[in-house]
Amino acid sequence: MLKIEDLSVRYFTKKGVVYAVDNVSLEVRKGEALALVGESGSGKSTLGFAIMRIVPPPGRIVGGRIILEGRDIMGLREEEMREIRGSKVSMVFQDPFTTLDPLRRVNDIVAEVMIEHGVDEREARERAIHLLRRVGIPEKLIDAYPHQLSGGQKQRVAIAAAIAMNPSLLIADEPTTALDVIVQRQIMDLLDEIRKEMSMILITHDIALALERADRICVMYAGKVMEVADKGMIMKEALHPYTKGLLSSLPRLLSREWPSSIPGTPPDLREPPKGCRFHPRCSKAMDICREQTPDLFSVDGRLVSCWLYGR
Amino acid sequence: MSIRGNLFLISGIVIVASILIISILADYIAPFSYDEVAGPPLSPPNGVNLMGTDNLGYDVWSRIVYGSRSVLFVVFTSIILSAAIGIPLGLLSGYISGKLDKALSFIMDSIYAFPSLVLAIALAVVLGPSPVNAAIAIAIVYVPTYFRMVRGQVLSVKTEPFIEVNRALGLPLARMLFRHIMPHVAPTIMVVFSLSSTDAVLTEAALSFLGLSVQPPTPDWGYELYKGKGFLLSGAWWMVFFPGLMITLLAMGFALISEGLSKGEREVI
Amino acid sequence: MGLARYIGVRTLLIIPTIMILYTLVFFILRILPGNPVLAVLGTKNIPEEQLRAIMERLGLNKPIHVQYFEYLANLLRGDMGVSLVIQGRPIARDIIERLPATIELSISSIIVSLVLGVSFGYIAARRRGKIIDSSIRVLGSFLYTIFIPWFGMLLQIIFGIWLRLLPIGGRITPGIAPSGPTGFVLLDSLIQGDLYAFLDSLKYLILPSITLGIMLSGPYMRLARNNMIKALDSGFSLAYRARGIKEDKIVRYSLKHAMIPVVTYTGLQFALLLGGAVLTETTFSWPGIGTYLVEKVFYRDYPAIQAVVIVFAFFVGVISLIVDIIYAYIDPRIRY
Repeated sequence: MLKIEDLSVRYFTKKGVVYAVDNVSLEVRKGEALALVGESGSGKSTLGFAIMRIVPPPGRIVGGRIILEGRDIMGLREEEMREIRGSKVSMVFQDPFTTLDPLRRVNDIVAEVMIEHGVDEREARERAIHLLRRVGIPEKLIDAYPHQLSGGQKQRVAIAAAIAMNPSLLIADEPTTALDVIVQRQIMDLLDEIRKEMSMILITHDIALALERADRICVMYAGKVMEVADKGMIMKEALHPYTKGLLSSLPRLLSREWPSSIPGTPPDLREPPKGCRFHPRCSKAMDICREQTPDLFSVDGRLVSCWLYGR
Repeated sequence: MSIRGNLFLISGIVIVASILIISILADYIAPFSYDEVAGPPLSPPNGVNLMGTDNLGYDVWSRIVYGSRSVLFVVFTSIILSAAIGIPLGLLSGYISGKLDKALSFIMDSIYAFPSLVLAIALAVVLGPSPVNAAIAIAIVYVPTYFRMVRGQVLSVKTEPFIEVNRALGLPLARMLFRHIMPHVAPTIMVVFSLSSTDAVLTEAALSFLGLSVQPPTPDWGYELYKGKGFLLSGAWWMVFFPGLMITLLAMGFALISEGLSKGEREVI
Repeated sequence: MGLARYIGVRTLLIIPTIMILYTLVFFILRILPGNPVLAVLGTKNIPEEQLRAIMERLGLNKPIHVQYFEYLANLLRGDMGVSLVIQGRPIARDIIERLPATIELSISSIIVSLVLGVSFGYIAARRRGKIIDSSIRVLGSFLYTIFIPWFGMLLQIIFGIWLRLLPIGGRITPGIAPSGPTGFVLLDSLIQGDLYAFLDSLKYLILPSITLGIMLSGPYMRLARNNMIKALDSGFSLAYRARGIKEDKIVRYSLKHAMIPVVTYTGLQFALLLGGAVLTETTFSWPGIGTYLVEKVFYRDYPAIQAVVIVFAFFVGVISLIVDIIYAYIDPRIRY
């Protein structure tokens, strides 16, 4: 239901142009949960913002198409885009402490989403209360201010606001990173329940979380897609060296081996490496990797951007 | 330091320095003496009297030139006094802490919270109108400013390891304060210096505007303004415009210096 | 906790604050050298006994702590003593008569300041990085260096004398003043339905409040700009955008956030306002406490001066209270 073609996003900062997202193509199927996995700086959050066209300045989408439910939203005017945001596509952010306006009550925040999209005020308020209950906010906190809620509760409010208009796609950008482990599980369970009604993009740096909760996994590195595959396939065997590296960095409960880390650091995206972005850190790097950027090759029902698998 | 900071700093210094030079070389710069009839009373600016004459026929420009002396005297005296009292107290209080610190801070905060001009007026009245007393009044009003700034800096420097080391070595208090802590406090002091100079200029002008600084016929910019007020209806705008311009210019000069200095210290968003 | 309870608690706290200021004022005016009575009467040679008699009458020869409490007791009864210069005239009455004028001027100046400061700050925030942004920031930093009486007089010259549009002094055309209940000319004229007096007094109010208002608006510009930018860039603005909320609503919400430090600043700089009010009133012959103070200064009327200073101290305390209350109203985090 979402098709991204050759999308590029750049940040035009005073210290140079950052190639945050570079020619990314991706698909999200109806009803699935796609995990966007990568380190910080991989471009995953920027991609999320780009889908909703809310990339904050000095960032800008510089090329590509985004086709949402058959419609190319790149060509839409801002008012039309605003109608879509919050109603067709929604986003839950990483830090609920800063993304909930502290000066407003939570039921107002949720109700406002609906009111802005044309719902009658009385009905919007009723639905807001209903939604807050549904996500697990206790009755007495329904008209509270954000600072009176715990981190987990704040995130629930954010989720309620995001699903208020029954969007077709929910983008969750690191929804649990700012929360503690037990709360993380609760929030993920809530998201699991919600995504039965919609498609979801889960942005995370935690590949274990992705394997646990998503249907398909898309691995990103330095602004480009490295591998896209079903969860099962990745768990059985990852193809891309980077994905392999990510998996082997997971501590294993029953194994005696120490988890290994990927040597090196992510590149400065103002001057990304020529050719394959990962080649400076790749143990399997070949000459061609240093020269040419690999396309996304289709291998065994999945996509890999690596010269090991391509021609 | 940013370009703009430099620009501010230099312009400020130029302005203040020029006025300082004017005051020092007053005898050579001013065409007339300040109590010498230089033309028909209330004449607008003309070839002889570049800024016109006042109600007694004195040359406004000359009075401004000589007036700069009173102004600069009061401003510098008060700043030095303020600093001389406020800085050591701030150093001491911040370093020693405890009851002394609490009591002093409390007093200083109360003075600080009070309208500075009103306090200066009250003090100047009680002391009696004269430039020296005006300087004292202004000095008292701005002691808390120095105190607080210095104290704050001392508090943040106090926790540095090298202070602990020196204290363990049994360094005498005075040495500790002046040799080791002062250098860290010095940049802030410069900024406060220039900032409070701006205020001092404006407060001095206000005091002399209200007749609480110099007494006639000694010229002082604020007092010229007061005189000019009485002759506003006669249309003698030059009596008001030029002295007031000088006050604002001098204040702005100091403000430029302080902005220039503080831009070297912090990032502007 | 709720707003009401917060107000209650905060109001109680004001008492120690004012007591402290009273003590301070009392002692500062006494510690300094100089005999006030001599200063008033000049250095005429007064026989020792007569001098002592006068001082006794005024209660000035009692030990200081006795004077302290006596004066305080009198204050609480509303008695501020009598003027040294105008024989027997109670100071309290004068002050109460003059107070509304100063309050009127202060409030209208604050309004001018806020409107000017916040709108300029808003413009600078919206056009961040451009030349107008830098200009407004520079303007805001240096506006206060303009000497208030000078600026006021220039306005008087331009608008009062050359253009003859506005009056140059006073509060209202003599004889028109409504003898209303509040003493606030603007209010009284409205209460009495006297539109002419209302408009007339407005005319007199314009120049002084613009003068004082402009001079005080500098910091507001910077505050409003910086905090609006912070709010517009912050997480919740992004979240609002992601929910499809209209941009001008988001701007309005950001403005509300920016108002918090603006309001706080008003309270903190009320002292500055009072000082500026004194100068403005003097320049425009505005019959408020400022001019009262200046008159008393001119005549060396010490009891009156002391009373005025105490009144000022009181107001500083009250205003900081009001500011805290407004702050609590805007920001729910404080009261819950």
